[in-house]
Amino acid sequence: MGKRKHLASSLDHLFRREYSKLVALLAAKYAARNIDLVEDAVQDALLKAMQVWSYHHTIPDNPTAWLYRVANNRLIDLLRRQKFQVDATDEILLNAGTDPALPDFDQVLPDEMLTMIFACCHPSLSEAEQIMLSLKLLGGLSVREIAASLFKKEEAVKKVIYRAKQKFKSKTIELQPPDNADLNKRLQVVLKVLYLMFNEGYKATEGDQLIKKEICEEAIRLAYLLHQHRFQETPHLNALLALMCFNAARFDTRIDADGNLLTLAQQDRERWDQEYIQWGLYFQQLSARGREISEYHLEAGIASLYVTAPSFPETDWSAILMHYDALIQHNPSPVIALNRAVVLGKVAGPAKALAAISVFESRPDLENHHLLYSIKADLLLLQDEYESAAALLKRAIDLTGNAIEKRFLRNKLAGIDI
Amino acid sequence: MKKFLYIFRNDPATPPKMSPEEMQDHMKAWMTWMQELSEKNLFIDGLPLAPEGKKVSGDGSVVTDGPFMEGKEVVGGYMLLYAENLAHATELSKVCPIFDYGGQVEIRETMDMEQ
Repeated sequence: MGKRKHLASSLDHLFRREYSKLVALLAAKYAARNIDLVEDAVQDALLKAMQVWSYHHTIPDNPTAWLYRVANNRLIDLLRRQKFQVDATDEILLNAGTDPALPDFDQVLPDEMLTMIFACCHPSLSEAEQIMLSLKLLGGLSVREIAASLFKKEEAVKKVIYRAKQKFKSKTIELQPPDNADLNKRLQVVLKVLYLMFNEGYKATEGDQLIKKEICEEAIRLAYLLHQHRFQETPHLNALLALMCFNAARFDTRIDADGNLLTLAQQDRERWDQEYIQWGLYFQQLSARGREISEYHLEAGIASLYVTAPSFPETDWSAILMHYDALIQHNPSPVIALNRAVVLGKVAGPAKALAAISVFESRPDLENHHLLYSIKADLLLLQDEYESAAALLKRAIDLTGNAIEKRFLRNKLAGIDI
Repeated sequence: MKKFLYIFRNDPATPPKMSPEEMQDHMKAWMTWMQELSEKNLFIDGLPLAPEGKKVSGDGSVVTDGPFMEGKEVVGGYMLLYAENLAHATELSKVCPIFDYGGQVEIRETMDMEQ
């Protein structure tokens, strides 16, 4: 099935994928407290593969098995060298470990990967720790790549991952799948982390765009793994998958070659990835089985109305507004209220939208939010109130710390003829 | 055609810092380079070398642990190939991916009976 390959395509990032597989397998086998040594051993195995495979200009038929053998033996080596860490259980493993019987990867791997996903998204970790640890251990990204894509300092990322790993090694996070009683609650946390991970990649901020896109793909891949191996019928997960696929379809069209942000109206619809849209529709259909409506359902609904509209003016704004009305019931956040006002403007005109904003705009958490000022400016422009719009845009430019958005707003300001 | 030896030297501290993705890209670059030499029937043989080793010296009784050179100079692999002459062998080496990570290639002509 062509579209299945698209989502599960692994050969593109073989080394990254193998990294996360082997870390999951070996951490499960040798305990989470050895996670640093596990990572070192896997890194060494990949290094050896890089050298040996390139000189022989070939990749073995079963790269996972090849790498597993090398990493396992390397890990035993490293554990022996650090004798002070070896306790009785380790000793048994070590003696049984060299030249291991290979596990049945197809059978064992999904379980170990799922366990690892739940461990990286453990509730005892902070959101930042969950995201960065997931990118490192599940995504196979290096600290440098994470820092480059999230536009953070390497040292800062290193610190977060260090802290996360300290908790990871402690007794709190056991590498065991959550109890059935706990499962749904834990799954919700995992979904939240994947949602945030996707948004980190999707955000139009500075940073390595290539890796940012890969972070989005990684979030989709992990969600798909959950879907494939255990949670096919979980409406929240399917809605999240739909949402991510719809947005991923537009990834390449949001920023032009010069790094300028493009609005939905300016984006080249011909270049939206139809395969992702088809996947989105597929998961959206699955997500409708069941009674629950989550925020993921509503956001997926909005995203699908955007990507399936024949053109920007033909977008079904009333339907989108209904989704926003429901979304606000779930989550009365001011940012959602602002986005709702934009849609209200399309349906009922800018005056109505400005009136809606005036109801909540004095909230203290909005006062310094650039979005308030840029959205109001857009609405005022529609009413030909250029001077007030320009003043608001200036305020928005001062308030945003994001260089891409700053440039976008400056261009808009320059276009106003006062 | 004459036979030449490439001796690849690099800093063993560099590769452990590479990310999985970078390692894969680097591997692809090496594969492509070697594949091209192979298709032109210039590639004879080549292998990477394990980092550990021994050095025997004196009258054979002095055995020390390798590697045998400092830092950036460690031999990481070798390749035997055909080339017209030293200039040709040098030219062929210029696109070797080892330079992407600050490595070096030493090029030596082998000496055959016929010469």
